[in-house]
Amino acid sequence: MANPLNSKELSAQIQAGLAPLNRRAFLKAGLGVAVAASSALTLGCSSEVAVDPALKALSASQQALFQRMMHVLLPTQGTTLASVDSVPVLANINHLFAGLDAKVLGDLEGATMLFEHGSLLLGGHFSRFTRLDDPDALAYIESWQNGNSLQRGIVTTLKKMIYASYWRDEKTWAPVDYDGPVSDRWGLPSLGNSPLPAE
Amino acid sequence: MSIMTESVQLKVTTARDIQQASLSLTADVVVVGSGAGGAVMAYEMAKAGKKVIVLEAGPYVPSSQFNEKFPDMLELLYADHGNQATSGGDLLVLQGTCIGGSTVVNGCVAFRVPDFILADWQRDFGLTNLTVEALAPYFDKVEKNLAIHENQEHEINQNSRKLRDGAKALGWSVKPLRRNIRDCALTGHCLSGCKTDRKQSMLVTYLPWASHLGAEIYADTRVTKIHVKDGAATGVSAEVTDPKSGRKVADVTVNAKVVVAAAGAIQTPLLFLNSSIANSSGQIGRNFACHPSTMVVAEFDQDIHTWRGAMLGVYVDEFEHPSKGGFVLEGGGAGPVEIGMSTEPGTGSVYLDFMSRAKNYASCVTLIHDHNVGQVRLEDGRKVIDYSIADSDFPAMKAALKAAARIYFAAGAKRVFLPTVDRRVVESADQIDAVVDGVVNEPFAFRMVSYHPQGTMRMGSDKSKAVVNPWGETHDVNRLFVADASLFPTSLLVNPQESVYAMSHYIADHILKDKAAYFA
Ligand SMILES: Cc1cc2nc3c(=O)[nH]c(=O)nc-3n(C[C@H](O)[C@H](O)[C@H](O)COP(=O)(O)OP(=O)(O)OC[C@H]3O[C@@H](n4cnc5c(N)ncnc54)[C@H](O)[C@@H]3O)c2cc1C
Repeated sequence: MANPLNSKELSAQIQAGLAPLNRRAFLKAGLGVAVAASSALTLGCSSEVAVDPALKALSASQQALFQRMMHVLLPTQGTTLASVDSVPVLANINHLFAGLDAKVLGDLEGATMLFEHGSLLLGGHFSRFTRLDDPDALAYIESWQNGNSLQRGIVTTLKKMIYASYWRDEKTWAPVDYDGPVSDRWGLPSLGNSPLPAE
Repeated sequence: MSIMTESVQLKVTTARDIQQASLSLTADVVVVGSGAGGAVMAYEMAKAGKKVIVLEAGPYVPSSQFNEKFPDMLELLYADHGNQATSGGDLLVLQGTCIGGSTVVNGCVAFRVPDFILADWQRDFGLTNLTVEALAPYFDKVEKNLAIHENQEHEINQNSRKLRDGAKALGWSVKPLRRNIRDCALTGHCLSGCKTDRKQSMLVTYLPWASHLGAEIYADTRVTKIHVKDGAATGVSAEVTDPKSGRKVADVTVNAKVVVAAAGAIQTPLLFLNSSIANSSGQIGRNFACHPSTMVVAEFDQDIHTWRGAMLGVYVDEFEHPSKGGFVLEGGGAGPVEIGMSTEPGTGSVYLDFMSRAKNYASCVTLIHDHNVGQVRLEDGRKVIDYSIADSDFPAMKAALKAAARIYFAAGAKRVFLPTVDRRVVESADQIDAVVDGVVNEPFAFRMVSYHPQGTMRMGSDKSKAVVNPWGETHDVNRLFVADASLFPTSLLVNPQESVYAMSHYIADHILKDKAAYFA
């Protein structure tokens, strides 16, 4: 593969991809999803992570991106928190994607591609995100967090998806003293429908 | 309260119950949407002996299915599975989409429209009929029907106590919130729906009451068009969709003498735009306001467990009047996930360190009296919500953050985390102004959520500037009413549900007073 930094074509494609983002026209968030896309951009063949075919809503490149990102965002080893590898983060993200409509999914694809390749152009790194080592990946995420409003939007979206997918698992609750559902545990009776008011 | 002891059942027809490919129904009144406005309207009409049909786009989810896991309930009960956002992407707009609408998932806080807001409406929109005195009986009635009461001391959790302590230390006014709840079980799970039916949402009050009095309620049924003939509404078309498969099950038409739109401030204008009706003013979908809300998080030495106890306890009203700032702060608890998402604590191990101290955080919600600068519109048949913080509202956003930070430091906080997308942490009271003033008004500055969309079907006496007249009927189309949060010509500043109930009741009374005209 040609050195992407020398590839005027790729750089133009990424800029073309970013242009609509800069006009904010493409941004759509929920759990905060941001987005845009140059359909010409593809993630290519970088993934060294095993692809789980059961996660149908995520492309191979998205699986690679989220895998990498979740380990950078949630370095649980050596903490009292639930190990990130004990939680089905990727499966939960897949579930989230499966519930999104086609337009948002298309937008998300653009966002993940831009994040993956943005380091080539914007982050001062000569590699796509999934190939950065831990300190560089962390620095890259932080640079987007402090970047322009669109970078902030995209990185916040991706972070939120990963955090939500980690914390929604019950294993993560006890270490932070979170009680989770309580009504059944406390044996609370339902009060049912309220009686008709006498008027 | 004197009550009938008879237990009332909520009967709902769902997609699974419908066998025919098309249904043709008739009613005196068809109500679009079963949330705050729709449920009250349905009950008042059914009580007056009218044949009522309620069509609700969302599913029927009995409270036994609420599991107190917020991500699950976002997917099940909320519009777009909790992903409804503005076109800019930096504001999440939460709404309930289920039988009972947003009232099922709301935080139970109840306020009357502030007097100074009504005064604005009278002066600026010709709503001289909406006086404090004229509306009082309607508020009185819904307060009685929904057990609205001031929080008792046991309903004020550690989280709210911190807010109260700080406000008191500064000499600022702070009061218990009022809520529509019976015998609150203090689970803190309001936004996931009340599993044990203590919250007096429409799901357990006005809808079963309406159903008991004969109203027919359809779930999974999205109204797509309002029909108009000779200048008057004649009914609606709708589609019934299986919520599991997303497959269309049936077409429904309802012929009715009166049509009431109560689909909420996002969907009501879209329904009108899709029907190409009642828009001679050009105001449909415009004037969107939403109380953009942020959560300020403060760290204390002691355990707070902000998620324990009643979700919302007290509020600081010191700055409520626009002349004093135009914002309120509500002591609102949240789960650790929501706390972690409401600020930017840092990345990687810094984030985990922040989360490991989740039990030490107190949190409050800021609400501002925002201007009606947004718009809800259709683009290629898809909904678009345009909204960003107006420059004129930005000072109120910042003032609210400063006040919250001051309160928390006065209560002994170690540091305060601002609800910004980049990391902004205030380490001491003397840093507050500098840190907050560093935030500039641009997209993705704040982490914002709106729980209160409003204003897109403006009420007013001047038909060139408003869609709906002072009694809720559209200026352009007879027998077509709006009875939801889209009516409010300005944002309320305070939580809107009680005002929607009261306005819907007021409009219902108006319709019933003129029975001869509407039901002939
Ligand atoms: C998470 C959350 C917390 C909140 N907390 C509070 C609080 O503590 N206090 C407070 O005062 N307010 C609160 N609110 C806001 C309050 O619940 C709303 O202001 C109020 O319910 C609005 O009433 P409405 O009738 O306009 O709309 P809704 O109650 O939202 O009802 C509209 C209904 O119409 C249905 N619908 C939409 N389109 C169609 C269609 N085409 N056909 C058929 N049906 C349709 C929707 O599915 C929905 O069920 C909260 C809201 C949320 C989301």
